Amino acid sequence: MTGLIAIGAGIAALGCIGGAIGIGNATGKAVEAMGRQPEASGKISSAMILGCALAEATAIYAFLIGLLLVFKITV
Amino acid sequence: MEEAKILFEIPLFGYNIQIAESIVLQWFIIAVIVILSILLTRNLKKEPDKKQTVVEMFVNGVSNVVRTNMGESYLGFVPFIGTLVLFLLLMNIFGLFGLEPPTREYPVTIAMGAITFIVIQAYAIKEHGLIGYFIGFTKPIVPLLPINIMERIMLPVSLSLRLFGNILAGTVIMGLIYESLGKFAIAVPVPLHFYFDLFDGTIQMVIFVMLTMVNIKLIAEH
Repeated sequence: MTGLIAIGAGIAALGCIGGAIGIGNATGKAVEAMGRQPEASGKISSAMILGCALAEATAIYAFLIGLLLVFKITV
Repeated sequence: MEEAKILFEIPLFGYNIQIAESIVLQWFIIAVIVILSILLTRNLKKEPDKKQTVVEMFVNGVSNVVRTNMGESYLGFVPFIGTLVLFLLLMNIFGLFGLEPPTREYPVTIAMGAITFIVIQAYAIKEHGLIGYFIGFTKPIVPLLPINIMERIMLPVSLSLRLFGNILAGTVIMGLIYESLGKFAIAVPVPLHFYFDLFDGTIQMVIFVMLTMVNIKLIAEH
């Protein structure tokens, strides 16, 4: 049973992939936009931080589920 | 989750109120902020001296952030936003002092989320009146009513979970590093402290404050 819980925690950690793709996309597009319009960089970066935060939330949920499962393992 | 560390108990009306470490740390932060603000705002002058210049820089910075993100008519939120900035920043960087940041416990962050929730709803009620506030739930079309209600309730939950998860992840990783290094924990944890405490704490504070500001504006103008 402990082994299955550990495997479940590992699978939950796969949820981080989504957050990583989201943050990578957002940052890439923001850098592109800044290169095109350097004078708007303040607005772009604040929008980027917001987008990154929202994308990151999914990874945080995956992390929490993984942590909850890991704390279940009492050897 | 792990149990919160209980430092002492206060007997009150037959109940024992348990005081956790995170609460004592927050009292400490509140005391620091109050004492600093009393000390720094004594005998203000037209021509600022050194300490007044620093304080003015901070106030100006927060006002500028509020102005660019929310607009001129929301400048009344500067004290609230500034307090959030200081309080969250001090809570997040507590790992630098060898203590555990209070924000690694979920009750602390859900309290911050609840404060934001109440401020957002109260400001919307103040702007639109009670009836206008409830009509706002049915915009843009009536069938969206349950989704709108869910959105309002999920906002503080997601805000607090984000802060809590990030800080907890940082402290767990720092704990693993200290455990694996054992007695040889010299110089290696310094850049990691820099990243997980200073950088991550500041970024999380910025995100919390930004989302608070954006949501106050969004919901007040629905």
